[in-house]
Amino acid sequence: MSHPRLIAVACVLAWARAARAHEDGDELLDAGAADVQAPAAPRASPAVDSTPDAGGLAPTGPPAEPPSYDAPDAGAPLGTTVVRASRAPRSASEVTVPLDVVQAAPRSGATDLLRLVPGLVASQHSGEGKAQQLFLRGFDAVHGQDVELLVAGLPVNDVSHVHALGYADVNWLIPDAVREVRVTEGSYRAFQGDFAVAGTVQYELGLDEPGLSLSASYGSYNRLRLFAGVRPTDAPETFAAVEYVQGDGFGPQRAFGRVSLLGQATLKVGNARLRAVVGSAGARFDSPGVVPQAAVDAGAGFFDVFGLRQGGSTSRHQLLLGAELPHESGRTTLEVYGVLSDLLLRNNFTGYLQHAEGDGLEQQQSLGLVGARAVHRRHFHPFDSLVTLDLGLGGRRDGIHQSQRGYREVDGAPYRDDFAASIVQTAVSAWTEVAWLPSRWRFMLGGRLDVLHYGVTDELAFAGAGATRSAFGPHWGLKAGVERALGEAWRLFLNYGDGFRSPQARSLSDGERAPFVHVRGAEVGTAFTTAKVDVRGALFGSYVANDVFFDHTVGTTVYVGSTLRGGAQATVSARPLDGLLVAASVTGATAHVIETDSLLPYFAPLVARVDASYAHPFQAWGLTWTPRVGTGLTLIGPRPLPYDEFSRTVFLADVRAALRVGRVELVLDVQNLFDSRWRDGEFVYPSNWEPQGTPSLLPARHFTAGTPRTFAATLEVHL
Amino acid sequence: MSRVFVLVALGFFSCGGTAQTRRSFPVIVSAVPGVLRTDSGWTVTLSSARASLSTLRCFSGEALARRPFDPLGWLVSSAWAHPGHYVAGAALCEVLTPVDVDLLAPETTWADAAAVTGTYGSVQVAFGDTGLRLAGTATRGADVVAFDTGDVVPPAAVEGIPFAHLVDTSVGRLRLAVDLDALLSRVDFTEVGAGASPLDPSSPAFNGVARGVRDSSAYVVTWESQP
Repeated sequence: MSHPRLIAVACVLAWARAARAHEDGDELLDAGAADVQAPAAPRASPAVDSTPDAGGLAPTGPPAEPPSYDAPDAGAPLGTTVVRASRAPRSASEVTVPLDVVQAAPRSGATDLLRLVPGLVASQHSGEGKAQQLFLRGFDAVHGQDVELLVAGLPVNDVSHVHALGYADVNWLIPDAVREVRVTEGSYRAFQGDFAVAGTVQYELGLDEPGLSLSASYGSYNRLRLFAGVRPTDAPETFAAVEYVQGDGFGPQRAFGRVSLLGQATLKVGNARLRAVVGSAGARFDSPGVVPQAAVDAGAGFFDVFGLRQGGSTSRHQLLLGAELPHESGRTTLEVYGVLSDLLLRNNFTGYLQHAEGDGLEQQQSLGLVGARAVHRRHFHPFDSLVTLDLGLGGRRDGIHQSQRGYREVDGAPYRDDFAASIVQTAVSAWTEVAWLPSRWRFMLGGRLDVLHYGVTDELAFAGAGATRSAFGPHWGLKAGVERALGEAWRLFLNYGDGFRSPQARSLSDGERAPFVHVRGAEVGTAFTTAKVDVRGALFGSYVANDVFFDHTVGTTVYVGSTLRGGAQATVSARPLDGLLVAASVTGATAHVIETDSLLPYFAPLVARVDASYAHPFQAWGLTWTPRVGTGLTLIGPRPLPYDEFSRTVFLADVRAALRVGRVELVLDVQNLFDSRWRDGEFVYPSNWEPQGTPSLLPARHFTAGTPRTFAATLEVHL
Repeated sequence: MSRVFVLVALGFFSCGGTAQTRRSFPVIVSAVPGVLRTDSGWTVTLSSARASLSTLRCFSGEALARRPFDPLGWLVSSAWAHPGHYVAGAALCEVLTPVDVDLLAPETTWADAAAVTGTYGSVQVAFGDTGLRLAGTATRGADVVAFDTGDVVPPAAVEGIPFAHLVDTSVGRLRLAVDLDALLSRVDFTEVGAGASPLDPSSPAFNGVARGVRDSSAYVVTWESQP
């Protein structure tokens, strides 16, 4: 039996045992690891160690054929293959996107990585460096306020961000270093924290191949990408990688450049497993602004620039140190982390609407974040049944300095100070999940307590003398779930969870009890999983008692009252033939304001995504030849806009063709194959780009142009 | 096939609409009928009254120029901002086509306003290059003064004209009525002597007309529902 097939069999065995363990109440399931030992094949990599986190997730598809840790030429010593199976999901919408799906279609950056999340729409409306606008499950998450993002345990969402609440910039994430994407949609799990309103997305890191990997890519609009990564043979999660990308962009005022360094090291000391994650990144980008549709109707270009000097720069430095300490009846995980980040952003979405000098806004944010978390997992066996207990504690301190000032359109000179503030935001959280597993049932009850403290210094108040204020408030959330196994492959889920979003510090008054946006969500779903196919379906709904609609294009916040969201989601992942992979999802959602029985604007009612690839290795002339083709298809249905309007349907097709011969691979990528003139973002709001004329001040359609067809050729060498 | 799928899915998940919608309605301009009598006792008879209007815009911001009668307010008083604190808010309707209006005619149809539904609070009117021009005679006792104001062009649009109305999709039209009695109320024709054509722009009489043109209370905006 060939080495990859042996690994595949080992994984299938591990998965099957984990599934049985679940149904039989085996504690292995909730120990978070099902260790399966299989005789190693010649040249096998000694360990495949995929450690689930507190969330404990399972692959969307059968865990067979994980190509990520194949090392046919690594020359590793003979040994034992240890496969640690992922835990079963706790809801139908807990999915893991494995590496082969990540690699199926072109992934040129963070936007493509975000599109891996079923039902998620990511819009990059202000250049390659600003955080994407996210839409998920009926929520317009703006730049991250309703989607919690984590990378290898490091939090990405910025609290009280100057540009948008929960601002989550993942442009520094190197696509080659993403091992898998763990998605927990909804807020049904206790480990989900601030901003996990529509869901939580966790990127796990690792390099595909051991040894040294080098690649160079050149494509349309002078896009140049250089990548280097190294991974030890015997430590699949340990790696170091660096990426350099620059380009002119697909139209005027779209140039960008960025560099990113990421590394992760794991080390076993006795029973303990130590882990460190480091990263440094910097980026600079231009932005063309937002195009008024009326201007295009009057003859302006689809890719024209409205507003000079827009764009920005970012930097981010981060470190996480963790230790996993197993014990007889469970394990304890300890982690400390820190993030330093800076952002400078210049936007002018409204021209001269508010100010004769121009409405340009220059926003700056500096963040210093330190935090720690501990998760303790334990099992009990009362009355011949299994009870698991998860306890989590966490705390973080965000030290923020932020400011906003207006700049003149004509020369970029600042002429107006809007605000400047220093913020210290502290969050302390505690959560627990208790699960009881009698026979084929699983009952889970959990809760989460988050307490926030805010200290704000408004530096411009009292003619620059400054003013201080503080606020404090707790949030309590309930989590519950019922699971029923029907046979070997089929499960039913019923889940409930309270999620929350912390408020913007500057919006709080002194002594105010910090108001949280509180969401109550529920879901019923099913999953059918065999060795070749994984099918899931879910109906979900959520209720927000006092929802807020924040229009970040004009910076207005509107309290809209109670809102109700609902929808359905289906995902399929299948490997029907050797080398053939198909992963697809379709999500329908709706979002209503209860009082007015009207739709909330901007959410995505219909999102469909297909990733498919086929690889067929063969031997010729003494070498292994691996041709590979793949495609990624995205469909985004018309989104409701203000004033009963709808955005246009978006359909994008990306294709990839690759040929690997021995240690060298050539990859050709085409994105937006049919060269669609698509609108990445569409908005309705007033603007004025005719300061001397008689402009219309009514709300009007604006858009940001989507990327046209692009080509890229990549040469990879694996040493 | 994919188009059908999209339509079916949207029909299911996007039923209903967002809270507001676009619409249009006619804008009518006229003068408030009645006798024109100034504060200084002159009765004015106009032989010509022409206004050159350039734009009309409706805004969400309420014009707090007048305090409505509120019996409870006598017991629990509340502060009202004066007109200088007017905040226009969001634009909800606009007419951007210039028009010349004969204010002695029963009414003049300006144009159809492009609009969105919503709660309206105030209106802004901008004059064109020739502004407002009134001519006629002013009479007080035995004194009769013929006058012609010449072109009175306000330096900026007249803001904060009260128009508190919920505009939905029902059929109707917006009437802008110029209250010439209020507009001319400040003018004392004593200073004009036997007559002036046009008025001296530095004269108190001209200044009275100019102030009247800028006074938002000289304009009355109403919604006229139509079956």
